[in-house]
Amino acid sequence: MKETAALEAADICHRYHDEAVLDNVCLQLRKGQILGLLGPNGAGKSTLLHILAGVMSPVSGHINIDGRTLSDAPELLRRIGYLPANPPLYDDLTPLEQLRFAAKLQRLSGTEIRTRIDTVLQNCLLEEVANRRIGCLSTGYRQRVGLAQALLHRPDILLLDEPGNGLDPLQSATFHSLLHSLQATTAILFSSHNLGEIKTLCTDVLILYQGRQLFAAAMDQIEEPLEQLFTRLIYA
Amino acid sequence: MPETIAIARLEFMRWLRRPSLWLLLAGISFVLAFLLLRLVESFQAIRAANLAGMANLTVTQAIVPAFFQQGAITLLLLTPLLTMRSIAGEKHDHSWTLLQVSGLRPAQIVLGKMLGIGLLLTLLVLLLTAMPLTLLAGSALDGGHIFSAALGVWLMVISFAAAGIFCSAIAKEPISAAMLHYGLLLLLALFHFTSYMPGIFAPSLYQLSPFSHLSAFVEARFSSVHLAWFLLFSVLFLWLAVRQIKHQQIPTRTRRARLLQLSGLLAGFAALIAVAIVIAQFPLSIDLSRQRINSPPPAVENLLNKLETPLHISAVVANSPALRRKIEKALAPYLASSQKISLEFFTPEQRALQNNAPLDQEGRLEFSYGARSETIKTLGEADILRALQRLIEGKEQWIVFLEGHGEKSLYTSSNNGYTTLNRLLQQQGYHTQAINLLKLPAIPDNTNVLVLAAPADALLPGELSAIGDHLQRGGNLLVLRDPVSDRSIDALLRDIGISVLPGTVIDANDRLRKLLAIRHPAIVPITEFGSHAITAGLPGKMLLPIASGLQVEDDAQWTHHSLLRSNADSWNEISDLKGHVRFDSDSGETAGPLTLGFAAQRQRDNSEQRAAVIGDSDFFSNEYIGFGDNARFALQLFSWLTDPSPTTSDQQASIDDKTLTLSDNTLLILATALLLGLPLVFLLIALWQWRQNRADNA
Repeated sequence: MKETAALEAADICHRYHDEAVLDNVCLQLRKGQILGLLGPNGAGKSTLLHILAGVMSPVSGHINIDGRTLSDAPELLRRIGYLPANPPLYDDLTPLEQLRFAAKLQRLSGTEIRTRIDTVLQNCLLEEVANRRIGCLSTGYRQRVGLAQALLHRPDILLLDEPGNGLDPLQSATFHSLLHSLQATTAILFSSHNLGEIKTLCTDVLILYQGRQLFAAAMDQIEEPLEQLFTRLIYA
Repeated sequence: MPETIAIARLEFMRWLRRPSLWLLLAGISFVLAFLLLRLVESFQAIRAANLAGMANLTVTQAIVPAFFQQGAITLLLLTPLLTMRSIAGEKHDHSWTLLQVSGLRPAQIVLGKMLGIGLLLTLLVLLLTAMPLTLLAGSALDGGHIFSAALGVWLMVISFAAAGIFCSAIAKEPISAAMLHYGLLLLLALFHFTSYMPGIFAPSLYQLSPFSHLSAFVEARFSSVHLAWFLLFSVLFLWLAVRQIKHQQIPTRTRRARLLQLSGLLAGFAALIAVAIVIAQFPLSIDLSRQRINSPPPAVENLLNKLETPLHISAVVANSPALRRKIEKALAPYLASSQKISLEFFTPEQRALQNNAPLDQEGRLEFSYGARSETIKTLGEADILRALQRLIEGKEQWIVFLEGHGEKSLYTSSNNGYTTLNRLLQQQGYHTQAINLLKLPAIPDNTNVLVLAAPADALLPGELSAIGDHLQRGGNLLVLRDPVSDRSIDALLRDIGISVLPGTVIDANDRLRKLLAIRHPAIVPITEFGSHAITAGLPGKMLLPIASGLQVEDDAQWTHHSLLRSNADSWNEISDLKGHVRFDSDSGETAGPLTLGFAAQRQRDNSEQRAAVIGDSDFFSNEYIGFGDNARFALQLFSWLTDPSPTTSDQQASIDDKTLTLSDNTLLILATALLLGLPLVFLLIALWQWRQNRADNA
């Protein structure tokens, strides 16, 4: 029996002021999969992630989560963890307060809130800054608070937009190992224009260019080096 | 719901951490304290000056409506600053995405924002309410009135916060949201101001203005209509904000979707209008003041309970929204007391077509009850009550003028006669009659006021005895005493504790006399009025030609109030008015200012007996009654003398807030605490928050 995709997007089209930014993009995301969304700036990666996370609705196309249409059941959004390029944080709160607020929005119970916050603070190496104002934190820390927030409610699907931005090499390594640890229970989609990061982390890759889906395949099925494939597709 | 509370809590807590909030609070508390102390100062100045018509003014009535109205405007100006960031700020800072991806419905987000800001505004309204309560140190206050005013301000700022959230939802930047919100505030203020200008839209604009609905609350007049207005205003803008957020998330792209959206919008508006119409059909009014300042006195309520058939009031108003509202306000307590009373407005042209009446009917109130009708042209409580008494009980007010001794006559149309006064009194619904005690041995029992209009000949002992009996029975009396009047009536004046100065009052204030074009020095201009219901609202001047000065004798029974005073350059000239006259203290003349009119009253069992003595009879004459405030004074004088309402002490509630007793020390402490202490506390909190934020940044 064919396994149902955790997240399935079909024929996603979107336009800004009559200019197509996404054109018939399709993707499937399953648990255990880390799908890398690759593309140059302006390819439509962030728009696609915004649409998949429910921040905006596409002009046409469907998004299903475990077979149910997202637009018909907004509560399905609770199964998604989303870290956009600009993490949605309140600068005047501490990471602890931010996570507590996010946990309440995700309807976590009282004891669950405490344990989950402790876990994500530990996993994202945020314990030492847990009580400092977010506005005073470096970009790397802010990114990690955003990631902790996205992971807080144990989502089935994790959407990450340029999550490596602002992370130093050590933090990047920790982040990569964190994603690997989540891989078994979570379907992960993350965008990047860093080919090395995609190669290291991803099980699958989807290449976007000017809103069009140029290529999608499992990493182990790609026969030529990713850099070469990417350059060939973009300049074709 | 927990998510909504979490959003509300976050909104509220984030505000508390902002030094800007505490700075704003410091500024606002200073402004409010300044407004309060100015009102206290004005009230004490009114009390010190013993201003005419202000004797019954209470601390609550003098301070609470004005303070809460000004306080509401201050808070309204603050509201856009509190709401501008609620949604637009989150979009600007990208934190909005967190709310969008959390699976919350737009209504939950909007409600959460509203609750958070609402809690903050509630604290501000509590701060506003606490300020006048500090006056409890020197006076009792009407708690019901204060509650009503605070409720009105709260409803107003909450409804404006709802509008602010909508502005924040449609704007991309907080500053745009604030500008939009201030624009809406300006528009509604314009509605309010233009609603006082003549025009067919004035009533609609008045209904659209939140300030008109607030004024009912600050005057302790709770009405379901005003409450509903604020609630519907809030619901409208919250609903529009929810729609806007939905639209931003799922934009309408097809013509069908746009049509559906438009029809939904129209259906929503129609539903709100339908609810408003239904509520307006079943208005509920409650006088929230403990002193029942918006309710008719018990005597009037008893009277209105006797209504058997509908009583219709037709008000004739041409094109004056202000007069229309004044009439509505004056009659509101009566309309609220009985469902059988109705009010309708007509223009003079409509009235002329209906009744073939002359066109100069502006401001008239025509009461119709069965086959009876009454017309009045003044809005005094006593005038309305008299009209109602005449209509409902058939009770008539008789003013009886004594004749037969050379008095001024009601029926003489020469300059010296009183035909104009007679017409004015009849227009007010009084019945007038002249009686000669030689033909009628006693003053009729149903006489409400007996008038002695400067008898030139002596009254016979029997006549004096009949007038004395009238006084003994508790009858009201008006004596007009010219310098040349017969002295036989002075005995009556002594009975009411007043004596007459010899001679004629002369005014030597050349500047004022030239200004008023008065040639004869014995025509006395009156520009200073004592504090009394008779002189209430008389802003101008009166002329008393050939007048006597009066003074009060010691009398334990009667309470006297000076009504009319001559200028400091006046005196009572004892010699004949020939050639050059000058003040001569050696010959017993008294220097001004002199009193030329007194009102006197005394308690008789359960009623109050009233009398008035004026040292002149000519100012009522056809020649002089048209000058300045003479006619108005005459009407107010007769209105007071025939006032059928219970005495003030009967009407008063148990709260004694007519005086504000604050010692200099108490006032200093109060002023220091409110003007400096409270703003300083807020400034210190702002500083502390700022240091906290800086420490975090370090």
